[in-house]
This record gives sequence, C-alpha cells and structure tokens, in this order.
Amino acid sequence: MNCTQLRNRLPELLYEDVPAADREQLREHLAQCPKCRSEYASLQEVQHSLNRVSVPEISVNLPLLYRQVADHQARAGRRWRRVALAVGGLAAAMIIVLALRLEIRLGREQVVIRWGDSTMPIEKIVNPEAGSPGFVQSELPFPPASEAELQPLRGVIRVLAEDMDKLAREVDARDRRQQQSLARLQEQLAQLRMFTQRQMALSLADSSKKGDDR
Amino acid sequence: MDNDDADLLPGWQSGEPAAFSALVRRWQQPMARFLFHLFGQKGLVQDLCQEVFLRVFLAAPRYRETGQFSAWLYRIALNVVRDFSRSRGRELKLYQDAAPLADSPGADICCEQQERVQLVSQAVAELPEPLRVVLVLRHYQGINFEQMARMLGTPASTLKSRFAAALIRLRERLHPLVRDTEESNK
Repeated sequence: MNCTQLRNRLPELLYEDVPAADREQLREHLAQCPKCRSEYASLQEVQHSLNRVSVPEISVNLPLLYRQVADHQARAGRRWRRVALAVGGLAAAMIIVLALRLEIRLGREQVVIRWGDSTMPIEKIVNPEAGSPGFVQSELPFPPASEAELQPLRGVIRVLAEDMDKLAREVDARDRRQQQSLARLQEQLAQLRMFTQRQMALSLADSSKKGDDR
Repeated sequence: MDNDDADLLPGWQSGEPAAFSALVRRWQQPMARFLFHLFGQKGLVQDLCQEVFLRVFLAAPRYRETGQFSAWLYRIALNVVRDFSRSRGRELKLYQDAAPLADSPGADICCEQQERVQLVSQAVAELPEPLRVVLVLRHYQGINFEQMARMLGTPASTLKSRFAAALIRLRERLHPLVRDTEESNK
C-alpha cells in the first residue's frame, strides 16, 4: 500500500470503519511513514476538536405537543371541509351545465354561450370590412336538404304566399272602400256648410227688410 | 432495530401516551445533538425538536417497520430542518448564535477554550450541507455509512467521500488550532 492509498482511507481508519484485515495493513504503513502518521494525527486532532463542542440540554414539552396535535387536527378538519365544499360546488355547477345543456364555444372573433336546443344554427358575425353582403351569416350545423325533401316545403310556402297575396288584396280593397266613404262624407259636409250659409244669408235679409217696413 | 425502540413502537402506533413519552425521553437528547450540530442555532434547537416529535406523533399511522426507527426519525428531522430553512428563505446555515455557549455546562472554561469551541462550531457551520449532514451523522450520531446510505438514499461510497472531504476542509479551517495543539503536545 502506498501513501496515497492510505491517506484516502485515513478517515475510515480514524472512525474504525475499516475491516480488521485492512486495519492491520494500514497501521503497519503508519508505523513506518512519518508523513502519513502526521496526516493521521492532524485528523485525530480535528476529531478531538469536534468533540469539544457541547450540546444544550433540551426537553420536549409533551403537553404543548399534544395541544399542537389537537390544533393540527382541527386545521386538517377545516381544510377537508373546505375541500368538500369546493367539490360540492363544482358538482352542482356541472349538474347545472348538464341540465341546461349549456354550451360555450370560442370562435375567432366571438364567444358563444347558449343553452337548451343545440340543433339551432349559430349566427356568426362576419367582418363588415371584408365586403360580404350581410353582416350576419348562418352557420348550419347539419347538411343541406335534398330537392325531394324541399318540394313539400315549397308547396307550403307557395300556398302561404298565395294566402298572403289574397290577404293583401283584401286589405287594399278595404282601404279603397274606406277612402271612398271618407270622400262622400267630406262632400256631404261641404253641401251642409253651403246650405247653412245660404240659410243664414236669407235670415239676415228677412230681418233687414222687416226693419225698413217699420 | 434497537430492542428498546422495538418494545415501544407498537404502543406508540396504537396511541399509548406512555409509549410515546418513553420514545421522546429516549430520543430527545440525540435529536437535540443532531439538530444543534446540523443547524447550529442553540436557540432554535428546542423548537425544532418539538416540531420533529410533533411530526413523529402525527406520522405514527404511516410508520412501517421496514427499517430502523432511528433512520426514519433522522429523515423526519432532516425534513424539519430543510422546511425551516426554506421558510426562512435561506440555505441550511449554521452558526448564527451557536458559539458562545455561555449557559452550557462548560460555562466556566477559559476564554481561549471558548474561542476554540466557537471556531470549531463556525467551521462546521461553513461546510456545505451534504458534507455537514454526513459529518454530523457519522461523528456526532455514530451512524455507520451503510445505515446512512439507506437513510439518505445515497451510495455509501459517496458518503465516505463526503465525510473525508468534510474532515479535510475542517482540518484546513482549524489549521491554527490544530497546529497550536500539536505544539503544546510536543
């Protein structure tokens, strides 16, 4: 064993962590090598120096410790109650969301929050500066219907349109009748006014003639 | 496992105050020694020791007799010291008010000896934490490297290297003290 090998093992030798067989070998080297012996002595002195530091006497306060345990358990109970409340609140919110069939969708320029029937199309705001004809366009969440599916709808729309035209014509005729009635009433009123003026003129003429005779 | 601990552990785990008190009485002074040399602040040893045994009490249901009780206890103590250091926003730092030891049993020793003790405490305090932990566990607590390896989850060879490095650093730091002693011995 050379000096380097021995010096690497000096701490183990000092603290008796070396197997008995190696220990004898190390001690033989130490007995023959003054430099290694000096190295060992300096480490022994460090060991003795460490032993000089005294340690304060302490005593764990058990009554205080049991109070701390009680406080800790009370805090843990409160923490669990808070967690239970939070979980309950979250569950209630989830139930509300599911019951209302709430849907929140983030678009490029809009946020859509809706509830109830989710088959209705969502109106999408279109940038007016882009030159699109409408400010709002529909985004259909289902595929367009076929011609055969649309035919009955067209019939219904045609009948409804005819009904609307008929109704409009009736309204126009009623308006015309009302205008004619109004014109007749205005004419009668004018005749009545002329008759009244004539009667008044005749009365005035009679009364002035009677005054002249007297 | 130590027979005394083995006798006390079942009672402690089943919540018997007498068993827990006996464990505390048995371990409070070794724990004080460990915390003092590791943390170095005499004024905090009592509080840290109290915290260690509080955690021991609370962790009783989780303790499994798979290893030594002492190793489990020292792991708790290391966690307490690290949590405390973190909460104070500083590294595990020794020697704030450790040195004077005015009310220690050696209060009547001469100033020169007090200075030597202060120098030693300060030198230990200045060691990096990994070296300091190994030094304290081996020198002050008498734990061998195999036990320490199981406790810390670090290979024994690494711990031996750290221990040797700690001793060499201390020797360099305590060089004047060592030289004076050697001269006085001659």
